[in-house]
Amino acid sequence: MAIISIASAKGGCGKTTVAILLGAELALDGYKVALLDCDLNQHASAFGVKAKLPGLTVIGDVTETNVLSELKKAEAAQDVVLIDLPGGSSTLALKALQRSHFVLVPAQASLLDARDATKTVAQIDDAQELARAPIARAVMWTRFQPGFESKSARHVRESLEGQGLPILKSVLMERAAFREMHITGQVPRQADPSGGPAANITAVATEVLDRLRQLAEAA
Amino acid sequence: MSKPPLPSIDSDLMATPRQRVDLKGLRPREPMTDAAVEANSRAIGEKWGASTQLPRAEMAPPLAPVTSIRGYIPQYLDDELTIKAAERRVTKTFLIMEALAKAGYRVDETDLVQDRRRGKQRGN
Repeated sequence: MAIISIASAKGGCGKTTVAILLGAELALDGYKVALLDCDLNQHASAFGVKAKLPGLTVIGDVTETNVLSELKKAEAAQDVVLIDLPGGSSTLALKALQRSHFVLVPAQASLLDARDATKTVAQIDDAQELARAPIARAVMWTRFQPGFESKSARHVRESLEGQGLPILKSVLMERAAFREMHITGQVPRQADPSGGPAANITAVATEVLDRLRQLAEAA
Repeated sequence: MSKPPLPSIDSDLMATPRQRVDLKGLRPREPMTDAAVEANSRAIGEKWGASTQLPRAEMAPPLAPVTSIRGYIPQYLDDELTIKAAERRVTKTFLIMEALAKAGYRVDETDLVQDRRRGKQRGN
């Protein structure tokens, strides 16, 4: 059983999109997945109402008060628990981080996102130290523009990569399909299995699973 | 002189299903009491200026009114409870309430107090 938090101190960097896409991808692969929606906006929960994905259970209204008990319940019943955390620094997020095997830190290639990604990684370090257990993590580039990378985006990306932080090789592209899924309740692999957006999230999920496999082998 | 033919890419073009990862190999997180997780979160949160809904220590939510029950249990069970309680530094009442909560009885998290004699250290 794996617990993966999707965290960043920055709002709007793609946490919920990553949580839904990754949760759906793993569910379509046959894993039993729970997605704990800790965001006040409850967008993942709204998706969960529309979605027809038997392996994916979206649990809404997860707050600071009930996050640990909801996590325990989900742990007992699922293969993977994803925690979609709210933006900003919160003790809710810090609780979730301490109980996670792996933390994905989505970031767009902007200075604001990169700054907050490093802050989140520092908080993971603190959580790891106090929890006395390793917490694997990786920054993940999101909303990557296909075909063109601006000078500032490249500068930010190369600067963050130069910091030596673990960063996923796969990036989440900017795709209309990732917005449409909120309307249709269907992720790209359901709506257009052979399309680019489906291939994109498959690549991301493959890399995340590979990280989990490495963690399991090292355990 | 002509260039040699490129090697076959047939094997690269064969779609293979993603191997299922055995997640059972991942060890569960180290056991920590909710109170310890909360204390850590409070400490890190203070450092980073995190927003919080954690009650201040002096403003912990009130416990539900309590009542006393009396009954008889086998000696061996009492012995086991005594040992477990000492090992975990909790009370026998806590162990019983914890077991009841796991069995589906309503026990609010705020009322799951490890040891009422040591103040309001809650949760497991």
